[in-house]
Amino acid sequence: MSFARIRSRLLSLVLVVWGVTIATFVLANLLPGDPVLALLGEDATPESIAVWRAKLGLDQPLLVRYFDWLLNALQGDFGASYRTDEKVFDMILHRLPVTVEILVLTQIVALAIAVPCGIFSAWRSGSNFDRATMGTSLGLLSMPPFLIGILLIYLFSIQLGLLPATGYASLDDGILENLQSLLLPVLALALAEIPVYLRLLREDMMQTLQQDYIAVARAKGMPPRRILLFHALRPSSFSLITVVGVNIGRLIGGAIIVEVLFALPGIGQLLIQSVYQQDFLVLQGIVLFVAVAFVLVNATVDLLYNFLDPRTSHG
Amino acid sequence: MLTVGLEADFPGFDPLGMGALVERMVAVSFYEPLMEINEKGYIVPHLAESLSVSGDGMTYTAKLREGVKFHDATPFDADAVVFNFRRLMDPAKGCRCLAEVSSIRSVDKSGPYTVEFRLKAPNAAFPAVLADIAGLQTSPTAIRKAESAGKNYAETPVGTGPFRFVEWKRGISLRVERNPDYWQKGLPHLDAVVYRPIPDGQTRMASLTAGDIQLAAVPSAADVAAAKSGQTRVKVVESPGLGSVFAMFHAQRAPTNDARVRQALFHATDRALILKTINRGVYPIVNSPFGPGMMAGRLDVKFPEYNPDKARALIKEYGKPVKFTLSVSAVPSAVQLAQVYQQMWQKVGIEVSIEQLEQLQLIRKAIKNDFDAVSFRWPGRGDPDLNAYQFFHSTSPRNYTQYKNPEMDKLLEQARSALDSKVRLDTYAKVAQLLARDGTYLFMHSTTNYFLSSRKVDGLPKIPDGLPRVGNVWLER
Repeated sequence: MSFARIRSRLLSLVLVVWGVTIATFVLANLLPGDPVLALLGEDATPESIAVWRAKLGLDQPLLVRYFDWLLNALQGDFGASYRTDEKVFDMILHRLPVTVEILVLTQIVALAIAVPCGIFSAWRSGSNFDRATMGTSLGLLSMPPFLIGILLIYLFSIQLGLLPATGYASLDDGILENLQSLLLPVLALALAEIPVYLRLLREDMMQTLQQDYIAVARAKGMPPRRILLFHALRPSSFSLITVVGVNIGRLIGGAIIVEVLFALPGIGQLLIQSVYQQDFLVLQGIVLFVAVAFVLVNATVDLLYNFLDPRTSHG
Repeated sequence: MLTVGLEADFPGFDPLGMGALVERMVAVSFYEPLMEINEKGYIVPHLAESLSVSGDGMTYTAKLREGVKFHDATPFDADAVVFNFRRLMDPAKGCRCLAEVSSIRSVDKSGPYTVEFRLKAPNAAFPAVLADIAGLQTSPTAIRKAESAGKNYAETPVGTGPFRFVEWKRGISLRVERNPDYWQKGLPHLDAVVYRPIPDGQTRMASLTAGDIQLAAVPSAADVAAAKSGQTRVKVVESPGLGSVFAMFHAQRAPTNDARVRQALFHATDRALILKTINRGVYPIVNSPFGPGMMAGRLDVKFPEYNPDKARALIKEYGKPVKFTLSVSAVPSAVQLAQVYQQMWQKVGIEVSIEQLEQLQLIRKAIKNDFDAVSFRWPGRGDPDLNAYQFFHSTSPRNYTQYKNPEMDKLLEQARSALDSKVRLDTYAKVAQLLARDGTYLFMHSTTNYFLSSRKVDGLPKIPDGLPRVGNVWLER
């Protein structure tokens, strides 16, 4: 990638992130209610509200608060939670591993199932296997992750008693315990992603398989496994890679629901709490963090294009 | 070991910032108050061995239990109590309990195990304040240590309770372990208790059914009803609450500024039918701001009975069209309740439009006295004064409905300064009766405290404040 392109990408990244901070700040403050009321609840009195507003700096005008926050954020200080006084940066850092692990495992599980099935379906399109896969994936596609999650809890925890319904074991508790506690949430998310990946790959693969060079390879007597994996897969995975990348953003949305459902201490859970409790600085910090991550992932996907198809690097 | 599923993560355990039910539910395992509420709703000595009051009602003297130690071996004595109260009373520290401790003029040690509280004015509700967050005793050594190290004490609480705090993984779990030196011999029964935040109600229930947790807090009315009818394998533990759920009407705005209209509303509401249909009958009716968990809540109070004809007559007597807006929280059960009100009131000629608001907006409306009618709740406190004075005294900033009645003011003041509990109770009976006759609150049901537990869990005391005293719990094999 040329220097100019990297520079323009970086510039757009900064602009996007800046725009996001403004939008969240304004939106959070447009929310009905009030952080101080959320804090004090039914115990609130006019005096205690005034004391807490001043204490949290909420008596300042919106613009002043925003620029205070921005200046501090540029110096790495994202403020502290209204409720717990914990540093926002620490809160995010603390919960990040859980969400990242869920997202990574979800992608691995989804790809590990979708790619082989997709390839096989494309190669034997119209076969019983293809029809069964397509039917199942249509079914899964129509189910939201939270529904899959509830069904999984009902089946594996309550009926079979094989896996815990809720709870998180960190890596310190042992890798097996950790994976066991994440198995159901990851499945709930992955089962919703598999059909998307599978269908995309199958479509692209079917088109690739009609190309002349594939016919040549076949004519040369190359074994199908080699053709599929080494000649057809790379050119067919274009849309898949894009979607896998873009999906990380969508998955964060899914992770929120799944984290709440399975009581996992990740970013999603924190985000929901900060919205309910109107803990604006935490909300602001998380949205900023997610926006940066999202933009970075997209930039990485762009870079991957170059690797998949060197022609794009000149475009 | 017992695992408890709670409805939210806990912000922290410094009494300065504590307020949410969920953190009090956890803190009850490692902190103890000077006074305690018992199963009957009486305020009884706990870390204090006795509490006596001077003849003028201005000075309370607490004699402290001797030989009690905090979990860090700091002795519990008058110095510790004075330290704790002065810390909470310091306005610069911004305690959430400031309103409660503001009745105290000074706290002083008058012996190694004796503490004197001097009040600004006689206040018979003071013992209940000592049974609440303000009365919780923390180790002064631990607080000084955390403060000098620049650490947040709220994350490493040290108390005198049956369990000592061990580990807190934010968002995941909090673990407490048996305090081997606990002053109540034979307690606690369990070696350890783990608290886990499980915000989703359905998941909390699923975790209980699956055996991941053995005690679930704040179950839904549907789950309680199912458990009560024996449809599930879980046990219901309930204790009568201290507060009430009610609809309140503005006393200065037409049409509800006319007592006849308010009486008509009371008569037009079939409360028994509502409670059977809306909450599956798991919450009992209340007739006053005093929940059945306290003595004042067990008084015989006559609330206007369901009588639509009487209501119609009153509206006719009023002579003008009766029309107003009822503001409710936008959660399904609250909206359902409002719709039932709407239908019942319509039958007697009262026209109501429902305004659905987000919970915080609703609270804001109430605080600003900017409403016609609001469906609201007050979880209640351990003394009737704390359920009445602030809401019905004409000078209180928290008198949401702007109810002004000199007779009520007089009764509330009498009850606050009376020292004899019989006289107090009689006065609160009059308060409740006056509210039923002239008041602005349509009382619906009490705030019963429910827990669902595995069948193995036993011994949980049924204290009206709804905090699970796990020190008394054991597990059947």
